[in-house]
Amino acid sequence: MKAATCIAALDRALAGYGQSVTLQRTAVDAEGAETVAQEVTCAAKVRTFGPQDVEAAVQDIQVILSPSGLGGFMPQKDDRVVIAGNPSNVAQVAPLYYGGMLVRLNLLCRG
Amino acid sequence: MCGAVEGVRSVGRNTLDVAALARPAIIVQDGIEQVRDIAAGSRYSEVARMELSPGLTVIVRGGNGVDGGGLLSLYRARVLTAVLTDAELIAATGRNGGIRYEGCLVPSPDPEGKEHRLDLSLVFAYTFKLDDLS
Repeated sequence: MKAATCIAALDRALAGYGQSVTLQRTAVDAEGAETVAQEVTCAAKVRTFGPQDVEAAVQDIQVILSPSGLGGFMPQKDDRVVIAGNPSNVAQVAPLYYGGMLVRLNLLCRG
Repeated sequence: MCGAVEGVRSVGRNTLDVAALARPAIIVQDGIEQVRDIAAGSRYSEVARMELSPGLTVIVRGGNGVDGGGLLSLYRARVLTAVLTDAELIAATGRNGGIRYEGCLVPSPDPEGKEHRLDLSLVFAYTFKLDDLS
């Protein structure tokens, strides 16, 4: 198996059961006011866990991304992920490499 | 009042974070209310001088060359000025009370994090009167 095969398999899976999310990197001015400096919309597998009720205001969210949908945008800690209109904060970024090539990104988000 | 501080985008009370994660944000935790002293000769819980210690957390985002520490200092100054000079709050604490700034704490940031927090400690001393509850 090659890295490209891993990515293709993930892309097929995301096309089947994924959903559209928007990754945002914000910039701030001297007063701390935020603006979106960079963003990309891509497919992702989203799984929430740890909610305290059905309409949980704050919950942990696992987001799985394929590198092929990112267009050069590499998620970082404290980037924003907008899922169904709700922004969440990227708490952890866990890239998976196969043969030295990035094949998948697991994000832990909170929001 | 925290929502009226210049530059603050969102305020929450007794919550972990604000809606839509807007920044800069202030979160107020109601904190602790406890007795400081009791007037001589008064019956317990009829009249007492109390201290209320709410928690104020300022949350800002840094990055793109903007120093998070500088933003924290900016909002520390704005929030403290707003609280310590607010006529309504000063009047509410009364002649035997007052507002005291007890210091602040900046928790260690997460590695590569852009979010910065500042915890402000304030004490509001005021007279508790049982009659005021009815």
